[in-house]
Parts: sequence; structure tokens; C-alpha cells
Amino acid sequence: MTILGISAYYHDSAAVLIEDGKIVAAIEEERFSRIKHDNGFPHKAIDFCLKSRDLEIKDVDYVAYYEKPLLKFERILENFIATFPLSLQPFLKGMPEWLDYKIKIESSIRRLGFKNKIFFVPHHYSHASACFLNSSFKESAILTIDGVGEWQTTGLWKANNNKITPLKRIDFPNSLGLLYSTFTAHMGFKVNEDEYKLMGLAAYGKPIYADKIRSIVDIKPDGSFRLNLKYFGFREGFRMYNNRFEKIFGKARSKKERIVRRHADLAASVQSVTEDIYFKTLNHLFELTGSSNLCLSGGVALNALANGKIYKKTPFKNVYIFGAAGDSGAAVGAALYVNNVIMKKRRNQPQNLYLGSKYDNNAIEDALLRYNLKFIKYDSERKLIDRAAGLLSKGKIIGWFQGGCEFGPRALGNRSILSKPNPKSMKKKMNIIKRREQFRPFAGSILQSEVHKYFEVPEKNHQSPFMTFCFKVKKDKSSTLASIVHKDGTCRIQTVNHDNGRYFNLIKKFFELTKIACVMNTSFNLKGEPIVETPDQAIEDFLKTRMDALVLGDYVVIK
Amino acid sequence: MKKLFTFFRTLNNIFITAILTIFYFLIIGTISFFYRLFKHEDKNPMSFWKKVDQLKLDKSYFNSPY
Ligand SMILES: [Fe+2]
Repeated sequence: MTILGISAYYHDSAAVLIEDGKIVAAIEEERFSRIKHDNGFPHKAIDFCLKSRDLEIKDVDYVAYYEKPLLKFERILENFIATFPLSLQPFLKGMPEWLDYKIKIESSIRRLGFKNKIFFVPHHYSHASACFLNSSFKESAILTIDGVGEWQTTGLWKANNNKITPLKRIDFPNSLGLLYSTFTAHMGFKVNEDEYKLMGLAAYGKPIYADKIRSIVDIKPDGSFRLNLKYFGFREGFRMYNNRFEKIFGKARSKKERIVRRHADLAASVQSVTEDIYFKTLNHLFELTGSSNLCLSGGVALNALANGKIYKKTPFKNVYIFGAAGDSGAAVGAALYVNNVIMKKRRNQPQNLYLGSKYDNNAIEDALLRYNLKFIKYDSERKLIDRAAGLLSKGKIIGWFQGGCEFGPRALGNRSILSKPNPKSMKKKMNIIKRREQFRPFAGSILQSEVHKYFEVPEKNHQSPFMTFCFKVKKDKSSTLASIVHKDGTCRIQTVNHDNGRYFNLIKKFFELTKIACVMNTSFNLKGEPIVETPDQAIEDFLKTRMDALVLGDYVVIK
Repeated sequence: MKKLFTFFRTLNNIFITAILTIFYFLIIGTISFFYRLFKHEDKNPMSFWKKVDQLKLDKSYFNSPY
């Protein structure tokens, strides 16, 4: 059975193909359109998914869409009614878009030539399925939490085999995602894009505004909450906050304004309140389900700083967060829901996320020749790995482009820029290459077998394959990992094992050479760009920056 | 030709904006009046969690965009 999952028209549009329960292709539209977080209909992503399996749209049995568009439209309309007459501007901007295409998603899918059944899976069902059905758990508690779906913003669930049961929910406008985004906007960052900048900044501040935030958010002991809408602008306008909000938290930062202590304190405060709600909610979920397994999904579940504390602050023993926890991953969830729950097919094993486009040696060599670059081709993987690990051990920064590109927001070692995790100055060098703010931390990829020696993880050989958790760096390793330890002593980590193929071999060799089992890993892109998709884009970025070497498939280019 | 196209596009946009503005004030405004009259929120409940109906959702529910 072949199912095409689609997400579109909010942010991170994507397509995914599932064959007999196995995810065989998945990619975000932005990788092709080169528009970061592209929210258009994912024509190119769909095309890729079909072509990668030599299929045509008529070969697809079902299409699964990641939300119910008319239910969402109902929420939009009710919101205009509730905020009349302040919402005229968004009404005039939003209605033509809705009437023109957003409401007609079925026609857009039919225009592809698709004649079979379309399933519209409610948004939080899609999120819940994306995490649970990809996990190895037979039964689990689930928390879905994001900005907003149709109406729902938070969901508590329990799941057993092929059954996912909703227990409780919170609806728009009460949303933890939108609360976090409001502070993101107030900080001069982009909503739905720069929330992780706020998370990075939090480490530099003290949560001295937390009580003020609590004065505008009513939080109950069971984690449920209500926003005091007098202070928010997202319902009636284009601004997330309003003048009353600025009276409490000070004037919003303009994009180019220097970041000062007050901004860091605000970031720390909203992070602290977010964690308070998060852990109260999770403890309530545990009381409801009694399960020691937890699955998390939705944009808020990408808050790696909060995730790392789950093991200490809640009774959950095993936590699974799907790497594409945001809306692109909801396309996977919708397709799996159709396959496993509606069609009652057996669940598959958890998979890695190297599901995007691949380029063979011919395509890579053609690209290198087009750019007139001198390169070395390695016929054996061992020699290639020796060379790349050797460069890393000497403190060189390398662009690393291998196999299928990653699905989801994180580069997991197939489209990455890599370096040694020390000395501290490597962070500065890398931030210059990436053209991004110096306060932002970098992640580390570490051999899973060594992770407990470097980080305060809950157990030996702890697995965290998708960079969705931050853990404290052990004191005796903080100088070894100097360029990736954040101000608060934590680091976002990806554990790497045999499943990561060539990337695993690279880190293993680097470990042999340096006795350090970890490399600094950041996504292969420059500020404002999506992650590179083709060899040409990788070469362009390599030439534009101070990267020392580029490893494309079996080829190495040295600057 | 290009100028003519831009002119008609602008005219079209003005027309759509005018229709939508009238709709907003007449229809949305009227519904909003009754909406506020009848919409009541529980002032201070013990919890803001909403219970979910344990309905058995059939296939046709998932085929509908609503
Ligand atoms: Fe979502």
C-alpha cells in the first residue's frame, strides 16, 4: 500500500511517501524552492517522493493531509468574529488567500491527477501519530504541543499498538507555542523560525521576569493554562504582542538593536515559564496514563533545553521525540495514521531520517568540474574517512555532504558542517562561517557508546539520534568540548551509531585519532538559507566561506 | 499592455477589498454582536483542560475536510 502524506499552507510544507508502512522518501519543499520554511503547496517535494520510487501519482493508493482545512477555516472565521472590529486588516489579507487556494486543498491534490481517496487527519492526530507510530514503544503517553492546529494547541493522549486515544486538550487562543512566539517577536526575531534563538539566549539571563509572565498567564497545578488576551495581539493583528505587553516587558527590540542583559533575562524568563507549564503538564499526563513511556511532538517539542530536563522533572523513564517534530513531520504522522490506525496495518520499526534526495558520484563529479575545482576521489571508504578525520583532528572545518538529505530541521551528518569540539575559538570561527549571532550555541554528534562519559544522560549508551535533547556536559569534559558547551553548561546532542553509516565511521576514526568521541555539527547552510540540497549548493557555500575542506560523497576538495 | 494589465489588477484588488470590507462590517459585525451576547467563559475553573469526546471516529470522518 502506497500513501502520500502532505503538509502545506502554514510553515514547512513537506511531502512523504510510505510504502507498506515504511517511510521511503520525505522532504520539505524549502529544500527545492530555496525559500526557508516554504509554506506553499509542496509540488516539488511530491515530485521528488514519487520519482525516487519510479512512481506516478496514479500508483498512490491514498493521500493523507495533515489537518482538516475547513475546521481551521472555522477557527479563523470565529476569530474574526471574536475580535471585530480590530481584525479588519488581517481579514482583508487572509480571506483572499483562504478563498483562493487554502480552502481548496482537495482541488490542489486532484489537480495532481490523483483519483483515489483523500484522508484529512486532524492536525494533532497527525502530530501524535508522527511520534508514537515511529517509536519502538508498544504503549505510551503522548503530549502534542504546538502553536495551533485547527483549534487544538495542546493534547494529552494514550496509545497502545495501533490505537491512539485523545484524553484532554487545550484550544486556541491558549497556546504555549504562541506564548513563546510572542516573546520571539518581541525580541526582534522571526516567528515560527527563530524560537531556537530565544532558547539559546536564555542561558545568558536570569528569569527575573517570570512572575510578570505568570501575571498574564494563568497556570494551574495540572499544567493547563489560559493566556490573558488583553496583552497579546496575535488574534487581531499582525503583531504578536500589543502596547500593554510592552508596558510590562519594555519596548520590543528592533532587528538591528544590540542584545543586552534585559533581552537575555526576558528569554530566560519565558523559557522558565515554558518549562514550568511543560513539566506540570507532563506530570499530569503521567497521572492520567501511568505509562513510563512518553512520546512528544509539535513545534514546542523542539525545545531541546526543556526536553533534557524531562528525566529529572517527571517520572517518565523513556522519551521519544520524532526528529521532525514540527509541521513537516505532521505529514509523516498523517500518512502513518492512515496506514496503521485507519487501515490497521502493522507498525514498522523506527527509522532514521536520511529520507531526502541523494546524489551519486557522477552527479558530484559533474558539479565539481563545473566549478573548476581540484579534487581527489577516494576509491575506498576507509581512505576517505582517514583523510576527513585527519583534517578534523587538525582543527580544520569541513563541509560534509553524504547520502540522502535529512528530513526535519536538523542536520544529522549528511548535510553538515563539522569541526573539532575545541578549543573555544572554534565556535567563533563557525559562527563567522555561518554568519550568525555569536550567542548561539552549536550541537555535538557523539558516539552513542561514549555518551555517558561526556554528558549527564539518564543511562549508559543513552540514545538521542535527532538532536532533540540538551544535556549537561560533565565537568571533566567541559574543556574537551569547549566550543559546544553553552553558557549554562549544556549541549544539544546527537548520538551516533552503526545506523548512521559513514558519519559513524568518521566520528569513530576521529575518536581514534584524538581520543575525543564527539564532533561539532551544524547544518550545511548559511544564514537565511535552507540546508543545502544539491552538490552545487554545497560547493557555492564552500566557496563563499572560510570552510577549509569539502567532502562530497567520495570526493575531497581542499581550499 | 503591461500598464493595462497592472491597471486592471489594481482595479480588481480595490473591488475585492471593497466587497470584503462591506462583508466584514455587515456580516462579521452582526454575528460578532450576538457572539458576545451569548459567549460566556467560566471565570475561574479548577483546570483549563477540556475533556475529549470518546467518539468512535469512522473512516468517513477522516475523508471529510471538516
Ligand atoms: Fe503543528
